[in-house]
Amino acid sequence: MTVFHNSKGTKKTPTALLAESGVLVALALIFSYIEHLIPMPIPVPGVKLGLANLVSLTGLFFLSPIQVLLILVTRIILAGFMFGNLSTIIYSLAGGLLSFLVMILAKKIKAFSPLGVSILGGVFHNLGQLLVAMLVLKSFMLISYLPILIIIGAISGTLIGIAAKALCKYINKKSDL
Amino acid sequence: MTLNQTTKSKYLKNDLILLGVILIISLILLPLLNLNKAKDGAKAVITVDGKEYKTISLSEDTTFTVETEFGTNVITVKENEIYVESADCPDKICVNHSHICHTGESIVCLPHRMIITIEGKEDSQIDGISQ
Repeated sequence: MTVFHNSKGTKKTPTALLAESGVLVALALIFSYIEHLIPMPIPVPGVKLGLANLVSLTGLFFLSPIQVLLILVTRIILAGFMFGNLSTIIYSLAGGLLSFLVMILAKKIKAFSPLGVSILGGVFHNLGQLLVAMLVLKSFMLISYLPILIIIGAISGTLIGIAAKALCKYINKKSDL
Repeated sequence: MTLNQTTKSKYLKNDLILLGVILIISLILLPLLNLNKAKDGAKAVITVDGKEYKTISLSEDTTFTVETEFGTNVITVKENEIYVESADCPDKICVNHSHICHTGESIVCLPHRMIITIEGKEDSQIDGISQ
């Protein structure tokens, strides 16, 4: 289990990892649920705040990427079955995985704080969803949504990024994650 | 190193630059929004006695007369809507009919056996499941 160790390099037991991941998946699911309850004021399909991304984003800075990926995929599949349907899962997976990859890269180059990483994640989440929507519906015309989706991704990414930044500061002080 | 990344504020400048660049990119892409509208050419098909008489695009304003053995109707296209302006039929139902603009709507002039139906372009219907 050498892949699983935290940012400070200390190893965790599989049991601790399992418990930690479970708690974080539950947290992400609660975020998904809360988000599900909030109606979005903009009539563009697929627009949402991305509260659950707060877990993945903050996780990127404190956990191993593989653990974050597992939490992300588990959350998307569970939330999809509880609050959505199969197409929700496909769209969420596409957006989630693309934004996860981009966020890892953005973090690796060490040029951005969690805010910047989150903005990139938000934008690429929407790009991933749009790409899959174009594939599923076989309609290139959907590209006309691109500018709106980029702007909305940047806005929600900024909001989540601000929250994540505050959260990271707090965890830095407190935790031994 | 990672911990520094979460706390130090010197990254904030990069973040703001990133945000600016993204907003500029999206502004450049903004004309894409018109892509849907420009191609949105709904057509009105006019049939008389079951045979197609004329097909006309709703994107250009025009007025024309449909003159057949059954009678005369003056039809106007204005601001993507089509309506019968005047007719020499006895009941004037077609003239009193509201303006139509949506795919599938129709105006019928029974005495003149004339039907105006709006047809959308075939592959324009963006329809799908999303949440």
